[in-house]
Amino acid sequence: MEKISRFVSLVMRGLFLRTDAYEEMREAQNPFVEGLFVILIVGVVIAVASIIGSTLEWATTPNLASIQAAIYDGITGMTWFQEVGQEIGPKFLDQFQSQWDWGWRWADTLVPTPLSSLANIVTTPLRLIVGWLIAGALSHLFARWMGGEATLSQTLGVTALAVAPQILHVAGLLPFVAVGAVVSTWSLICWYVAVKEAHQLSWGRSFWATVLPRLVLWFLILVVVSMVVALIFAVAPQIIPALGGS
Amino acid sequence: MAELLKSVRGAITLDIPTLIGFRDSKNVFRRGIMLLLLVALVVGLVGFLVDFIGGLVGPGIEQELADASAMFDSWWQFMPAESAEIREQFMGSMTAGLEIGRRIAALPTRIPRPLATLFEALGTWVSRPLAMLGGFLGYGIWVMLAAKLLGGKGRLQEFLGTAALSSVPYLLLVLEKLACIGPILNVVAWIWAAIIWVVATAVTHGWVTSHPSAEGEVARYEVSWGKPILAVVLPAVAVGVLALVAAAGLGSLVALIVGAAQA
Repeated sequence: MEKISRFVSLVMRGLFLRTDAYEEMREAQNPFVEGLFVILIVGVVIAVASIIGSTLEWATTPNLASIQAAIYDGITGMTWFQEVGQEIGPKFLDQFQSQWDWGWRWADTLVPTPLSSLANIVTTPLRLIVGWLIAGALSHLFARWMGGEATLSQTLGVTALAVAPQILHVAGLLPFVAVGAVVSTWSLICWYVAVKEAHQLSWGRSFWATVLPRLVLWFLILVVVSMVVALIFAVAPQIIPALGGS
Repeated sequence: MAELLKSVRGAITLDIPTLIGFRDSKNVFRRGIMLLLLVALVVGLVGFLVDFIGGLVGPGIEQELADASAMFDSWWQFMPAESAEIREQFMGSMTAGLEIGRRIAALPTRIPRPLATLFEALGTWVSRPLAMLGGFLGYGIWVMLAAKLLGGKGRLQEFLGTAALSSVPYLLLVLEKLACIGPILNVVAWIWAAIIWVVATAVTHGWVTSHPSAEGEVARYEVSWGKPILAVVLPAVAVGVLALVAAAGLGSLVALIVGAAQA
């Protein structure tokens, strides 16, 4: 219990950019393990909040099937719909129906339910840990390149405190709350303070050691997405006729 | 509480000793953020009550349609007379859309409807401070960077904490729902906040010089305005230029695609 309250204090001090929290983490016996615990605690807390929030949202919204029926009745009752239906004939209605069903099948999978949100208890901490490890390792490389002297364990331990702003997702306990970009912006600020404190760098070097890993990651993502899109465009013309049976 | 009110008063009156005191206080970042969240919650309280009560009472589709129709008519008078048919079609679609909205709003929820309305209004209310904080931190990073490049000596925590005092003038937006003065209050709050941004930047980055009196106490402060103004304005200018470049690039791309398609 004492350990948990210490971690909570670290997270809160880290959130409000208190340098003593970052120093404490840097000087810890095993900063990597302590950082991992911090992320696990934050991940589990926000996952529980999201489960409660999703359940409340589910309870406050009407049944999806009845929303679908209300929209269907509304659209099919519109003058333009009936005019186009008469003009084009049954083909239009068939096409409309198939696209309508396809769209709602997608919507059905995207709408959160209490059951589907249970997976967050595993996926949220996992997502935070993977992101932390990748960004932390890259930050370490750049910080060392800039002249930093912290070990990898220290860099990871200290940057774990940059997940503290994720705690704002607890606001998701209330349905319909949009947390927005504040988490990523605040995390970036915490990350800068973490790198600065871990490696004792000047503001300029800390800035680059914070920004460059993100630029590299975005570039890599862009390359991968471009390759996937190019692959789809290259393969699709061969697959689509085959699917059509011609 | 007294300390908080003192800070609010000091921010509104651009009182430099108060801003310096705030900058040097323990947990300056936390205090600034808490003040900003409090301001946003107070401002949003009126909207929350309006949303909640409005959600319970509901203006009715006829009222919404009449409002939309009046707005549309004022705009339509500038259109040629032969577009009356388009107007009819538009109004027909809008009526049908509102009718769909009304039907969905009337559907039963799993918990009693008033409770669902309360949660919706609460969600909107709580989202506002978070959006405001996101915008503040996002802009703050760029002002900090500009200030540092201009030779500023402030620490990030002190700067962001002190600059959060710029949220205080937004208290004026408590009255933003008033149709006649709402937009004016918005402009006034925005200008006032921009001035506090400049003063906070000057105070935290070492662009304020104190002049002691014969007794050794600070008699007056002298602010060097050039660099703090530049630090606050530069990010906005940079965003504007980037937006223009992006829009021009996008426009050229669309023109190229259209040209290629026509060829």
